[in-house]
Amino acid sequence: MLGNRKRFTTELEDLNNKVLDMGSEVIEAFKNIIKACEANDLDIAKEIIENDQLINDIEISINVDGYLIIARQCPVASDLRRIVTALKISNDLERIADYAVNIAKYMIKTKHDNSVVVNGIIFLGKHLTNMLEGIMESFEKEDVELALKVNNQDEILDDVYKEEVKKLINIGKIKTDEESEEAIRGLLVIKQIERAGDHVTNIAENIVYLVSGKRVELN
Amino acid sequence: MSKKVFEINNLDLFYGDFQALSGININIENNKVTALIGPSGCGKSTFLRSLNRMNDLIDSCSITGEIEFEENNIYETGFDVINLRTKVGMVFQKPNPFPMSIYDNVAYGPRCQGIKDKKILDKIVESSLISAAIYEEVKDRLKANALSLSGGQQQRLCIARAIAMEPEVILMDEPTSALDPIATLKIEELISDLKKDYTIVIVTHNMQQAARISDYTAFFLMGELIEMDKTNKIFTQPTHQKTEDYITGRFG
Repeated sequence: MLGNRKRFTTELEDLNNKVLDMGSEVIEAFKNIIKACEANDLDIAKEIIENDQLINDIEISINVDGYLIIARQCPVASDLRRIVTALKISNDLERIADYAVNIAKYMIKTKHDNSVVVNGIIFLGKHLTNMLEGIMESFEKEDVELALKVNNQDEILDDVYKEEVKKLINIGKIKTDEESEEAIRGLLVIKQIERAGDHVTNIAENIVYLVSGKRVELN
Repeated sequence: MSKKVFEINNLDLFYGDFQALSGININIENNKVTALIGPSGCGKSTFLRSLNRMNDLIDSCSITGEIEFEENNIYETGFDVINLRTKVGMVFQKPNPFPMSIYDNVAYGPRCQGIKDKKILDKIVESSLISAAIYEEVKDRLKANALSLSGGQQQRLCIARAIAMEPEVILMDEPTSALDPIATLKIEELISDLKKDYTIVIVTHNMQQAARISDYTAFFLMGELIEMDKTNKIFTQPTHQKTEDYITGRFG
């Protein structure tokens, strides 16, 4: 019995560590987005796309392990919450990583002057990276207060996003066809970061559930 | 809110000098399954047995506090214990059919109550076996010895025997611990069906069984009731750390 519990505890720790590793990879992806934008370095953008496979693999591994633990150990209470939370957070992280890939693909494909879009990506991307670092720290420390603080930063991200949208709409209205087209594509791209922020708030909700067992709607 | 069948107030129970239960306060709701869980020696079976005064059979046992069954204190002087045990039936860990026919096992209780009419007895036996989900398996051999049945069938026969007395509550003390997984599943399905007509209190060491079949779960530890709540709450978000530690296997 004790031996089994020890193994069970190790399995839960391994699952937790995989979520933390996945979080680190996703943070790295957005840091690289910022680097690629700042240096206009398309090689970094390509690396982000290639590295996405690793993030997907970690998510699959978390799913496989989580389902196996549920089947074998019939977890309850905080053990059950830990597994459910790992499955849900890994799903959100995978989506956030996909947004990074979409931005990287945009950078590789775009052929026109897109400095307004790039500056928007950098500005919003830095804010999102801070949120990601905060939320993963909150997951690691099981710190609900920090999770709620990070969640509140999403409103700031939304406000900044709206400002960037205004800028791009104005460009669309007054500039040439080429620049207008670029502005529309830019709108779609920075929307990716705004959506990533929403997934961070999902993670915050799951951290609250992990620690307290209570379901809250933060988004 | 369902009706309370049992209301237990400040129950203390002693075996000689040893205090087996301390200050228990619980309500048992009508037509619900209440599971009692906790490590061996925590007092859950003692508590179960106190609900139909089976502890009276132990000389050194003494009780203070109140157990009200349908608003009457069952430990009050002059309380009709025979009538109580008719209304509060019991099924034990190990199937214990009497060494007689399947029919006679079920008819035993009604006969003791003075029912002699064969047609009435036939009806009671048939309906009890149907309710216990064993009728189809034994209808062609009602005169066969009950001991020839498998363990799982014997246990369902014991449930039929309890049902024949038309009880309001059925107490079950680890009713599946001696059974294989298939027989266990049948008893669990039966319990879920029976709660439409009966109130069930079950002692179980199987956490998943408690989670699967009960509406309420009470966790006992060293003679105290640590926590009682809806089963869904206990198994996802227990209030007390001791409950959490027990159900997750961190101790016990």
